Amino acid sequence: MIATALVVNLRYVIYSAVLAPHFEHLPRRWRVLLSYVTVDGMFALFAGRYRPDDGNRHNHWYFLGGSLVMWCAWQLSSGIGIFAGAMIPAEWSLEFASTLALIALLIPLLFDRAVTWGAVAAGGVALIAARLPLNLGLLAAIAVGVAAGLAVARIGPRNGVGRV
Amino acid sequence: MAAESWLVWALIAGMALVAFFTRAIFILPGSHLRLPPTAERVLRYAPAAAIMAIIVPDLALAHGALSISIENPRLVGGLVAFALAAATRSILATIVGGMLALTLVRQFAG
Repeated sequence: MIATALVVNLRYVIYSAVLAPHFEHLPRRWRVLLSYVTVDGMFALFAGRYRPDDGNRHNHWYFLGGSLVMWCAWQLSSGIGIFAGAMIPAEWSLEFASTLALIALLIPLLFDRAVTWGAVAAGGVALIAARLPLNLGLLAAIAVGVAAGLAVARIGPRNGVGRV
Repeated sequence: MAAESWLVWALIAGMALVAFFTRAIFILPGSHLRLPPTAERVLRYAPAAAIMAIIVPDLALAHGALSISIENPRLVGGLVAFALAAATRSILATIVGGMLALTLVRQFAG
């Protein structure tokens, strides 16, 4: 379970590397706070709006404001889920909505051929290796997916070799 | 139950630490620490691979067995969701459409 958490949070390592130059002039407590509130949606908004070299030294307020709105929505919906979730009939399969949300998040990530083929390879391996214990199937799928992505990027036309 | 509750809390704490430190790893040092190019190339493919590896078994496995059939509600719902996500880029449309497809297949195939 910890390994799963590590894997689904790996993308935040990338976000962290992208955000670091924006926030390096801030005091440590600010950097702890901004690390804690980082989520996908706010990262996407922020990265689309600011560049590290644009000299804006107040953009952390934009990041914090948006993040706090998302933080409140997150805590509120989690609370509703914990206290009212049991009232929703199990046969509605509401948990399937989380898989559907992942599908919606996945599509914008498939920005080039290599990433797409890497993901397809990972999906295939995850299916074959689903019976492995300790979520090792997931880790194997990601390892093969990354290898497949690197291989496609190497052999394919250079349409997908830009930076993230 | 009581014997296991410490384990639940330990798992929650562990996952919270993982969630925090993956975010803080470059923001917190604050210096000019940068990813080596190899790590950057690996991380480029990891997120999409990870999400796909979570999605596919949930759609195509039913009780641990492969189920590729128009009567598998999760598979049909998932495929509808993929099409909607690609066409609309809307999370809400994806979830609503996928749930509708799941329910319809359940009604008529179940």
